[in-house]
Amino acid sequence: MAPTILILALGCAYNEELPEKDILGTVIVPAAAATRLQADGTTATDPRFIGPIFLGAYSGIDTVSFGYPHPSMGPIVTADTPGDAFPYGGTTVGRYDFACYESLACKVVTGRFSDYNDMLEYFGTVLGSPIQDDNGADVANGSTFQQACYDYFYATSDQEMAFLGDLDFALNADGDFEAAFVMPHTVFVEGMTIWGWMDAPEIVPANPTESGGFSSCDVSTGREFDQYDENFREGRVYFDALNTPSQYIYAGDWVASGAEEAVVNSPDDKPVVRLDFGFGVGEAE
Amino acid sequence: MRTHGNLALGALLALSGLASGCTNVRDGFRPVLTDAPFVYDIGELRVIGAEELAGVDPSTVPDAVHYGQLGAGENAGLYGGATFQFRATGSSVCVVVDPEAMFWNKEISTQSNTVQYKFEDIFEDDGDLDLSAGLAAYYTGSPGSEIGDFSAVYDDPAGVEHELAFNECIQTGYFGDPAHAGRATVEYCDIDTSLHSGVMYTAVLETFALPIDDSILNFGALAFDGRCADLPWYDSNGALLAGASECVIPNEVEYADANGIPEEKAWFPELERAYCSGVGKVNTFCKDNPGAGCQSEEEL
Repeated sequence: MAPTILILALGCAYNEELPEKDILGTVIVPAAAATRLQADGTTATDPRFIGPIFLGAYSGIDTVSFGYPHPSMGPIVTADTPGDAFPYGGTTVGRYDFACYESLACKVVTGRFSDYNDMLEYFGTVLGSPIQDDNGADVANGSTFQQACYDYFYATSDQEMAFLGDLDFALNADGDFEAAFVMPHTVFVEGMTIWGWMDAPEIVPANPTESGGFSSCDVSTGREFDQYDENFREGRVYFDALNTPSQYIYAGDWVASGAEEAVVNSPDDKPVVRLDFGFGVGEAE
Repeated sequence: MRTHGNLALGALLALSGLASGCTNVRDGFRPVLTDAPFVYDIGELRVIGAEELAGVDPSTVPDAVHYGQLGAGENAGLYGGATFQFRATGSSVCVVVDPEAMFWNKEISTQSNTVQYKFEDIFEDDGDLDLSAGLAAYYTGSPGSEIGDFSAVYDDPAGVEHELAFNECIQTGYFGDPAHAGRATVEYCDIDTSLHSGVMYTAVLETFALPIDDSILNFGALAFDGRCADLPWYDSNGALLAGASECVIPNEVEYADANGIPEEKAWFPELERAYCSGVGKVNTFCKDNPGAGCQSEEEL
């Protein structure tokens, strides 16, 4: 009994001096990054246009090698692959989640939609790419969507749908969108920079049904669904989105410039990451 | 220098064996020392083109194909093997190594065991070489003296060290993960040299296992100007096929030994020809030649 108490007491007091820390901070997405062309030809500012945001802790920023600020990278070893940026840790604000229909594979990010009707309105009205069921028919109402999800996941509650619920972003006083992030178990290196990028949804005005996809998601991988006449993959983020981000950043995406406020000198710092560099914005649409 | 990770464990086992006064039973599994080199450097291999390779008379040894032997070293804690260099062509180069002798799977279906392979491979005559390759400048070993790898340390701008893997010979397993082929099976990989035309590359053939029967591993190796999927080879019917296989580098057992093929292995070339002629031929060969590298009917 006594040794157990001693061990417990030591366990509370002993500092393992692990280099990993949880880094807490804020990511700010300018309103311009959430302002896109809608299917009706008008532009709108809508937080549902905010794609997944990839955040990493890096040794520094390279402003020369690419057309946008990019983390410092190691040597290029193979011809068609950029050098590894060797992040010390990473996280995302919003992640890919499969939303019950094959037509939504790689098109849905968590923390962007409050309910089924919210999604139907975004894909149908805003993008002009209505959600389709397994027979290719447009899904008309939220209860049909809900029932399909319950069938697909053998679920009984909307709480089991990770792609619905609380929204990540809120409008701040400057009119931009702001969200808190936690970068867990990050190797703390004094002076490291939190850098990130937002994968903006593809908008294809000439063919709106192709809109809504993301370049950082691989529709050929992820969990496989194979039942009766349906066979598809749910899609999954590319595993090296933080190590070699330039492979997935295209015109229209927004990246952080690596400003001083994103530098971490102490584990208690609260870095602010502004995705204030629109890469080729205006050329994409 | 590449060392076996289980060196400390081996020393511990040896000590415990001595302490208990027992015979170290592991001695029975150690390969014997022979005249075959533990580490050697082949030198530069000329990158051979498809036309030349396809036109080679199977009964001769083309100069761009190296046949050699590897043996055990005195220090069981070190990796042995061979190295060679090739000059980058500016496009894809396929590196191939074919260790002695060959491997096939036994048919496990009870319904069709008379048409498919029926005879098990005898693994005692098989060796295993693991292939890696990269820019010669990144190679950490000393060709001809000790085997190394293609890793280096990169200091990022914040001063943090990261280990870099410069091995460009990526082979994948069944699930797409990095892997090496098993015993007696040809290993190969495509090296994209487009960024380094004219620069020297090093290929490392690391001895993973020597044949149990004689502790001498015969092998063949080459560097091909093109992709591995385009490697030409002929089956026993004379049809020209493409792709890396056991049949691209023929007769490694016969050609590697400067003294000629040993009598007890005289059947190797014939078995390889049978193997290369297509599915089912090994079964036919073994049925017709019981004991010559095959199990006899009684052993089945």
